[in-house]
Amino acid sequence: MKPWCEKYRPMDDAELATDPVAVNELKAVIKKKGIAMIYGNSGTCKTSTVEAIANGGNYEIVEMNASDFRDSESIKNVIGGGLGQQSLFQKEKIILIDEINGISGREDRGGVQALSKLLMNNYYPVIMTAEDPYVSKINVLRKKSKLIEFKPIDSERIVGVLKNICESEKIKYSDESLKIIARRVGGDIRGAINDLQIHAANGILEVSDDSEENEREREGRILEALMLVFKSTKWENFQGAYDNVRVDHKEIMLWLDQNIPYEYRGKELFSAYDALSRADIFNRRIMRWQYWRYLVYVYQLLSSGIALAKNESKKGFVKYKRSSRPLKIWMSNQKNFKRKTISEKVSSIFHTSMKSFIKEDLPYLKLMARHNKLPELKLEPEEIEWLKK
Amino acid sequence: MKIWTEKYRPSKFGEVFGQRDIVKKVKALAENGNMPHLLFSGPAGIGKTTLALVIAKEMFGENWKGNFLETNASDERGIDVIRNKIKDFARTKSVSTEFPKIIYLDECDSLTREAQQALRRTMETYAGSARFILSCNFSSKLIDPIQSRCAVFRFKPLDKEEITSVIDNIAEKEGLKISNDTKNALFDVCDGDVRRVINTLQSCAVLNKDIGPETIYEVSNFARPKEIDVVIKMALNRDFEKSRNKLLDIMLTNGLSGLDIIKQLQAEIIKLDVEGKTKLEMIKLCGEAEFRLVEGSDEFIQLEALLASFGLLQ
Repeated sequence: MKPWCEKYRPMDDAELATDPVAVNELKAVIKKKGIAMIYGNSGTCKTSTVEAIANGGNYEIVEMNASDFRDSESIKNVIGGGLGQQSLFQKEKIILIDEINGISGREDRGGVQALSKLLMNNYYPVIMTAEDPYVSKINVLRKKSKLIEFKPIDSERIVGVLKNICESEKIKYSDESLKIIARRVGGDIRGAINDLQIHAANGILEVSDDSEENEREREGRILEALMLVFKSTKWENFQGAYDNVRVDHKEIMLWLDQNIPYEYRGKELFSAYDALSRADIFNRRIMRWQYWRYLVYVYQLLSSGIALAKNESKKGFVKYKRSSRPLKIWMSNQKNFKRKTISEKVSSIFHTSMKSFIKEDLPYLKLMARHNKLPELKLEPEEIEWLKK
Repeated sequence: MKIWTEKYRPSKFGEVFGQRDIVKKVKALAENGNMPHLLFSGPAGIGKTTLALVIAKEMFGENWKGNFLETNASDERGIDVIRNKIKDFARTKSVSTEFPKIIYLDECDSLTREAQQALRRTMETYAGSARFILSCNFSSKLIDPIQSRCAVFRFKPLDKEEITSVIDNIAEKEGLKISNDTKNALFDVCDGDVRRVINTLQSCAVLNKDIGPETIYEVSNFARPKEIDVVIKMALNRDFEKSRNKLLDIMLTNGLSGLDIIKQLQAEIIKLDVEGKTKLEMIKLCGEAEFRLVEGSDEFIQLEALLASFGLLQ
């Protein structure tokens, strides 16, 4: 059995989940026989897009990926040949060099230089894919290429793709479970399809928000840490409380934020939030100045600061919960997707930023829309419907 | 039907309401043809963008669109805007005019420091072919080298008389009936923000051409929900969880930032029915929270800390 992410690879560009703007840019480069570097996180359909375009346009792909040796010799052999020769079947070619980030300094010695030399006079279009185009070792290549960004696939699209797979695999599914999968992968469509295959092994798709095993283990550790910090007042108990926790300080803060009010009241609540607020200020300073030593203070505030907000140790069982804030923000973004498209379209008519349009103009437009007296703004019917809601 | 904020946006110096001194000076600079870079600072809705557009229209006439780039720093934050969009525009010569092109950069105070540095260089490099008009709410957020390269104009909120003339002008052209009470109500809900005045008027007009003060308050309540006082009351009653949930709800449904919330909180606290001393304490706490919010990274945690501190007051 093929993994689904292979089985359902898009065959031509109509089936792609990629942003059409990026696809068109890429097509233009191919047509001009130019050089492009396409970049984006994994699972944003970089390779699939090239393959689909090749399929649709009847190109032959000459590929070299990370599993191939890419020292200067191999590159000259494989690609150098491809760059000059006519194809056996008289087909046009696309040279695809996948995962350019993966060119290794040691094993692939001279690879980048060889490649960059070959790029000087390419007869066929050359497409490179990269997760991060700004790594210094590929500077030379980047400068020769048109950079095209592949953005994370939006979750509505992912849900659509998953739905199609479920239909053809005859899987029982609920929209909700598809949404959970789509949300969890953060724009990585391959990850989403893999998840789907794992969770739908017996023909029924069952996912709950925390069904992932390692997720659970991670959660166990943070729950222990929270217990130490919230219950105890003894210095040695909560020092190093987060040592075994596998989530970073920002996620610890979200956990604390959610659960402080379940344990603390009044003055304790105030002191705990004061510690959290100070830790947050350090967070920003770390990011801004890249001064990571501040992290010491963050962790002290998150352990001692929270623990010593109380005078006496706490008894009794409290069920700690995962922060609901990210989910609420996500849901509201989904709901307000139209708000974004409308403000993108209209804010320039108002000579203002999207942010200020949403705050200052949009509410009034909603009111006018409700009374069917919306000014002419070239909105789509469904956008007008959204305004009326 | 057009949107009134655009329909009634002045396009000549003579049509601008308010900011009389500024308009006079800017007009002289524009007519002289040798305009320096300008910096407009002041709160929202008092004519900064309008004046920039007027300058472009008056200087370039019909060709103004080709010689005027409008961009804002809040949607396109960061160094890339400066490096790409602005540079591309600035390095070509202006179309059919001897005046340099104009680049209007709105909400400059949201540019990062690095972007401001880049902007400063760009302003110097292209001084021959382009003039910048920068606009911001607080000029103190701009680095000194930028401020020192601009002629700074501080815009003030329009006074009652000036707002009245805006209202009268629209009422006459749209055939609206507006009593003095209604004007007072409008003045009350709009804080000298003309954009809000005009938006409110147009919304009221879809209901009825004869606009009473109740309609003004109704529209204003719809557009600018007052739920924030509920949040404060819950926090004062030590009902922390409810208050924070409500707060998140308000922020998400209305797309408000932490700073927007602090501003509203502050305005509500002043009107609150509690002792003066408590109010003063709350304002102080607000100030500290705003400071931390600007310095911090997670706005919501800072707001929660503020709500938690309200719980200790009564």
